[in-house]
Amino acid sequence: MLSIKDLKVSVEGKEILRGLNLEVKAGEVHAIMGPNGSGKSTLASVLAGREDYIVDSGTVDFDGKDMLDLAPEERAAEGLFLAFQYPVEIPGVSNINFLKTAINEIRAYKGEEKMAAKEFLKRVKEKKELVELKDNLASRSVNEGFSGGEKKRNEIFQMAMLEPKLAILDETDSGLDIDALRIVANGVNRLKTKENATVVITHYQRLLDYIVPDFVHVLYQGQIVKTGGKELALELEEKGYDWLTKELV
Amino acid sequence: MEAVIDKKELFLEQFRVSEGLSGESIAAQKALHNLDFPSTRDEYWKYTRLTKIQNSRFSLEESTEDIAIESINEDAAHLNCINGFFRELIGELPEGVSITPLEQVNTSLIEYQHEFFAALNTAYFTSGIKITVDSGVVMEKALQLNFANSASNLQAQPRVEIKVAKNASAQFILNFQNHGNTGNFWNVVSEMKVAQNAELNIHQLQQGGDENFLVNTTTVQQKRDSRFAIHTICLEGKILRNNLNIAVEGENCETKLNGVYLASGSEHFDNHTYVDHIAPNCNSSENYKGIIDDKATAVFNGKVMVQPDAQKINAFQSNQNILLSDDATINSKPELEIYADDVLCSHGSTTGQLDEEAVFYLRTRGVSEISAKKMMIRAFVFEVLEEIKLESFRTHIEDLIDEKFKV
Repeated sequence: MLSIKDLKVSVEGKEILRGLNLEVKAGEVHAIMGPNGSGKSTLASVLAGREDYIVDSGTVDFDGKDMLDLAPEERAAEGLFLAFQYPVEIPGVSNINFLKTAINEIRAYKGEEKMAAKEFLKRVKEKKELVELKDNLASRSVNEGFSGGEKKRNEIFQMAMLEPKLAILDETDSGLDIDALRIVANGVNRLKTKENATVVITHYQRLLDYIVPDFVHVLYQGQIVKTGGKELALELEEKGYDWLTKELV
Repeated sequence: MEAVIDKKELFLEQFRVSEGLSGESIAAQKALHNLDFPSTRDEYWKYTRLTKIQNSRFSLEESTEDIAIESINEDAAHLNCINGFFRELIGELPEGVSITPLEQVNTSLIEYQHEFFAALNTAYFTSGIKITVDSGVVMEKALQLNFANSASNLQAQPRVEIKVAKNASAQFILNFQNHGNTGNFWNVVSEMKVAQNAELNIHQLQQGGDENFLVNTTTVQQKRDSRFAIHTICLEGKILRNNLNIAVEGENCETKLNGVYLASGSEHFDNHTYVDHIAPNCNSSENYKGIIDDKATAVFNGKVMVQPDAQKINAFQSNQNILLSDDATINSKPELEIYADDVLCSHGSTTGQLDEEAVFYLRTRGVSEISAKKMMIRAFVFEVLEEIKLESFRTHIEDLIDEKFKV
């Protein structure tokens, strides 16, 4: 589904990703862990199409498409979703209305008809329950005045509404209390199918107790330096990142 | 100095009429003789250069041609003013509402002794009407006045008097439309009197074409317990200037001034407002929001005056702007002048850019860049639009705002 080859990315002249490789197949859950400054958020941003990031070399293939060639909205239409580490507050733009526009623009991109109002409302109701989003939050302005936990839940709600092929969760767990974490993880797990894939980017092993990964990758200084099963996350939790860096030297 | 006077005289020459003036028009003609043509040296016109108007020549043409004008509120009555001349009413007026031609100006709220364009209209208005809403009458539908041209390079100086009697409730749409003409100069003067416990709601839509000039002077007088609200939507104009002056003369009044201006290309929009609190126990609130693109310029100058006897006034004023381009300009000046000691007044002005992070966020959800920016623009002006109670007008301008920017 997603194939990243030798990706090199710089921000303001500073090289952040230094030849990153990653293969994600349908039905898989991947976790990317790493210390601060290792390039985790840069990876999420560059995949979503943020402009300030310069791709110096490498390729990103998303189901046969050169993803780096696509605008952010085209990536979304192709089935990519990024849950933001810091979801943006947008006063005056209603959550529901913008999702309706998003769904219909994605459909138009695929040459499909608009979604019927009835079907849309049914989906809203269904997905709201999935992330236990309070009624009024769905219809309010995007993230405006939401608590940290509500913002993250709203990310998963949007993900549920858009039904992406590949979801990237950028530090979705950071700053969440245990109840919110459970709700968010539960939502992600229930959305998992054989056809879609999830990449969880996190600093803490805690999230992986709830979202169990098939693969754990360690990102360090812009490269994936180690890949293993879920037990690698536990090892990292226990020993920290130091042993890895020493091992590499 | 000689050259300046000559230019003004040459400008005035084209308006002079052969028939003798009557009423206050005579006094206004004298005032014009003593007044200079406004320039950026005048504080009142500091950011708006009018040389393009001064150097242009306009003719007068009373056309009988039919002009198609869209209805904003479906089945309500319309009155068209073409090239500055009012025509017959289309539709029916509610009982208790009457329109009569204004033959001459006798007494006026308009301060023209120091105001060039007000004096010009008072002296040489092309056509005028007086609308009276009798006491206790409630206008369920808004009467729509349309201002349009059938040709180019014309002058049009209509004059409107609206009188809302005691306990009455009135609403109007003033719709300035463009029909593909250029070089037209509109100099409109309106006088609105809101009597005791009466209500008046004005909805102005200004889209008279980006090659035409509009100077629009509105003077309002509020008596005690009255409510006045005005919504001004500026969408098109080469030079567009609104002078809105409200005298709150009675106690316990509500005054609302809302504005949205969207300037692009090389348009120049200027909104000057003045709220004069003369009596105590009144509320006024003003909220203007602007979006400026390309090389366009906008000016906002809002002044709130609280006179010594006007205690217990709540006056709120806000002006917010978004610049969409590096070449766009805004001159924003909110002003408060307070001579009473027991008042609650606030004012503020902000200028910024469209939140790029929010645009990116929306795009990652599959919303195209243009739709995302339109959403953000809508969101920005929403606060002003939601104050508009006349729904047909609100939805009409929401659509127009969407169309204005091809962002």
